[in-house]
Amino acid sequence: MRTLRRLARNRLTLLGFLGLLALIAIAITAPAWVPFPDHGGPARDVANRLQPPGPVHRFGTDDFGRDIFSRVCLGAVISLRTGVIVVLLASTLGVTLGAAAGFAGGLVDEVIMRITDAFLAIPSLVLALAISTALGASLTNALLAISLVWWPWYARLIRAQVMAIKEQEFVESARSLGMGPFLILTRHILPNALAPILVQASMDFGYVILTAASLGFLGLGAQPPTPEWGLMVSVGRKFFPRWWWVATFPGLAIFLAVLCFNLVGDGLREVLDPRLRKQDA
Amino acid sequence: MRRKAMSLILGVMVLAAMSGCARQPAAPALEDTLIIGSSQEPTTLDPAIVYDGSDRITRLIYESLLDYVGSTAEVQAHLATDWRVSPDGKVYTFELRDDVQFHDGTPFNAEAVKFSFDRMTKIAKGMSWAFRMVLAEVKVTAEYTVEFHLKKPYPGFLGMVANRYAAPIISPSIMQHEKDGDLAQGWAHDNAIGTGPYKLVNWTKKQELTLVKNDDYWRGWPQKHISRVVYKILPDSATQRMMLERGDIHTATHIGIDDIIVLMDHPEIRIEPAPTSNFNWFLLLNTQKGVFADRRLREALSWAFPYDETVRHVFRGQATQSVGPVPFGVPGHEPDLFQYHRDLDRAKALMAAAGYPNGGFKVTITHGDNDWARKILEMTISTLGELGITAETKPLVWGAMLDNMASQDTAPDIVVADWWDDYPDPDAFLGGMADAFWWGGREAADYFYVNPEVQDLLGEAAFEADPARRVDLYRRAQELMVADCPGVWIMDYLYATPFRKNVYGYVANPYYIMSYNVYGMWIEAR
Repeated sequence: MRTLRRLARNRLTLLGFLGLLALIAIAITAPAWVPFPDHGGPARDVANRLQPPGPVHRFGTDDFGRDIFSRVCLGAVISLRTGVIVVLLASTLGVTLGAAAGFAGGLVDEVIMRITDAFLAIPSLVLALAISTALGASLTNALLAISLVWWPWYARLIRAQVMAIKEQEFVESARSLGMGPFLILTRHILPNALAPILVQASMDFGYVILTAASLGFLGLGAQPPTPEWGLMVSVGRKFFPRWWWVATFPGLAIFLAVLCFNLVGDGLREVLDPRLRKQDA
Repeated sequence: MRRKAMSLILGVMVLAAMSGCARQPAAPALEDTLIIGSSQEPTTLDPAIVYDGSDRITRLIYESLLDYVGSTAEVQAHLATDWRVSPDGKVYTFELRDDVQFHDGTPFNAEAVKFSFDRMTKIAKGMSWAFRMVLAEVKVTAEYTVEFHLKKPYPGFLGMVANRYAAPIISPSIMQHEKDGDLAQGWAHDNAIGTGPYKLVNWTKKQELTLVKNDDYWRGWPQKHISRVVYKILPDSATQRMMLERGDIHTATHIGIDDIIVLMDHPEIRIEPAPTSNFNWFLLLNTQKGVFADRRLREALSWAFPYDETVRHVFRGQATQSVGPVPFGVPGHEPDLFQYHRDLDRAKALMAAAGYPNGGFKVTITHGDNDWARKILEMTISTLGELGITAETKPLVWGAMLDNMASQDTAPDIVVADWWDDYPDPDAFLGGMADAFWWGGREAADYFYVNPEVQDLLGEAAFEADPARRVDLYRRAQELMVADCPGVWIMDYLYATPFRKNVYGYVANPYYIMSYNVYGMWIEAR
């Protein structure tokens, strides 16, 4: 409760949080109320292609006459789902490997950390590009690709935490009481090491959405006619600046979604990071 | 005060403009340099090997014995003065011009012609496959007379001699640059000695090529002409469009369809569409495996496709709905073939008859990664959606598409395909089918479409010397194809080229698609 109150005290965080709630609400309910629910799929109205924003089409129409407002709203769920799936996959993989490395030490640590080094040596977008090219262009493969480039960050973070915590006295006492290593790790160490992971994950949502949009933009993520924001920007780019609305609105949606996640992430960090909390206490 | 000054300035300007008119009534000043933007750099300048857009450059440097008249597929003498065909259709005799020299002063004669054709067939790259298929021997019978002996009569031969690939004449003097028996391929890759109106002076890789006029060109130079051609490599279509809008380039090739549509409304730009097509877009259906093995479903898709919307709105009239597999403008086009139109009820009735009243199945589609293919793809997905069919799509480059089609293990249900012919003959357009080339497949079982009757008709027609019978054979083959619905023939595309409005004299010929008749063009100064 105290944490929540502290969160709410920061106006920007609150703003980001409200934005996020709105985004989630849109993602869940959009199919029920958007003016053209079928425009998220294989519909077309080519006689109305590239209409400017107006009373009927609030964000205008794209080159197949589809309502961009409907598509942007219907695309929210795709981006959110991308964020959730990737963050879950990457953090699960990263936490498992990172905790193992930090706890076991020695050769295990060496091997896992060198693997993360190899991953981190290549810019994440480039690596994601390479992986999704190899797997073939689709949204699922893009998700896999991004998860694969994302886990090393979590692995490193959790490893450092685990290494610090495992030397502490309560771990020592658990060990001397005869507790097995698996239980020590899951019962005593991990619960105390997860706070930074939460912060990292909340910040990552935004970046993951951005990366997925970049893949979509480059033609390696979602395929048409999916209303994925990055893909929509990519298609709309050709119509810029004369038919500016085709790229602008999905672009704004990406911008706002990433911004909200980052504001919330920043807020969380302030609250959960002990180093930043001191002045407050 | 300010307004007065303005009107004064305006008045002076009007006066100046009027006096300018009075002094020079006709003869507007000319610009001497044509700047072309293109996304494609030549892969080679060797005319024996060129088999892609590189002919945009080689066509300015090299010439052929024949060329196509204006915008048509008719042939006329060019470096030749006349030709005869032997009664059995197997010997073509060309009389040559005696007043032509190559850029380096080497005389053009029958030996040079024989040299060029022998070299091309020996190198055996590019379009030489077509010549090796029919050409037995080239014989020099006099200094300016040359005979082509064919293996069997082939009515498409003159069209082949006029084509932009493989047939142009190169100077025998290039052999001094031969290395290790490569027939000077290495040298001719970057250098060129032809008979044409322009000479290559510079090629800065990845940036630009520069050509200047050949002062001794055998046709002479009219008063209005272009003396320099700069060919800029601009990979991005949007960049090409913006440079055109600003006037930094005069014209562009390979510019995206949406950029063409944007340019249509620009006051300083004129779009010149080709009057006919040799280029069509269609959906190739896998008739051997999966749902489209059922003819009724293929026919259903043929009735469901929104041809009119595609042509009128999506491509803004830069295409017409196809009638059969051969586009209008290509010899062998049959305007009276059955043509499907959109009739969704009929499509749904066929779906129901085939046991899928509400669709409910999934198909795979591969397509090229370009503007045209993506637009057709979206129209296709949307059409399938109306029939309750979902689609899984995969963008591929051309080579990967062919690999993908080559085996039924990987073959999709639908390929978004386009096709154009190398020379104006129905064999060039349909003949591929006789050996099942554009129907995919490495083994007979892997072909997308197999109809032995069609294959026999096409095989027979290719070498039929009697023109009337030949037309008849091609018509019968096409009738069978249209009835089988192995594809949905969507549209014959009219390739359009954008120009700054001060560029004149361009003649669009679909057989010289994406290249320019720079000799014959001029630019008025603005």
